[in-house]
Amino acid sequence: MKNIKSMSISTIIIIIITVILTIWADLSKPLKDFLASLSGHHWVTKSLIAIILFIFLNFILSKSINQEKNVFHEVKKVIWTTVIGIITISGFYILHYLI
Amino acid sequence: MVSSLIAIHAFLGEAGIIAFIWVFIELLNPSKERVNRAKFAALLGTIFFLLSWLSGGYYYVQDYGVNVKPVIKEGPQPWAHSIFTETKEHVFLFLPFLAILTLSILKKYDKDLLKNNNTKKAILYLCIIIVIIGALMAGMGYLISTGYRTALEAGA
Repeated sequence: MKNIKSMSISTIIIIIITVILTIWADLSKPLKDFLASLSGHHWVTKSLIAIILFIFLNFILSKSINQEKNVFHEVKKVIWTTVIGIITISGFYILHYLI
Repeated sequence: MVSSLIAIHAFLGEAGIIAFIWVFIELLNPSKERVNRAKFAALLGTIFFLLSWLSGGYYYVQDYGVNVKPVIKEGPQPWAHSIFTETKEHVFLFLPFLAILTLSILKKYDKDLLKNNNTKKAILYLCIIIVIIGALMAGMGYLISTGYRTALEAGA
């Protein structure tokens, strides 16, 4: 857990995958049912995917990516991805409810 | 049982928010002692968020979907579930990973923090986004509870 660049990239990928899975599973019942069949509940499966992928990506990336000197540069990317992720998920559910 | 799990989930979430506010304050003007306290606060905050994830997740899966969601959807504020629960359960997933990232930066760059303003800014910005998301979670939790209470009052 010492390579901050690999951790930042892992966090960004986790957020993007969570957003994609959330919207896709809400639009596709077969995918939601498939996710639910893996653990008993679609949200639990999404949580487990996020945890496992975070550990796996961080492990793989930390071996192949050099440490970033400018941490702020990495964090800015994480923060922008987070903000866009929040807007996308909340915007999707607002539109989904209204339409 | 239901209300105690919600209370535990909310308490842990709010304790996590307070812990990252503590990190933020310690790092406004960092010294060796303040950085050490910030590391401790970030560790506490991360543990609180992980426990909040477990308690909230257990309640959501075991109780909410069966007993609360149908009542809210039949009540006068169905958007409390359709918009706020759906958004809350998924955006929450960002929070533990942002907390782990913050804690890792603090642990790795604890000495650098005293002389590198960019590293300090990175952690301060992460604390701000964590506290904002935490506050959003608390606000959405309130709206969901209101949706449930309103539905019960309406006899849904």
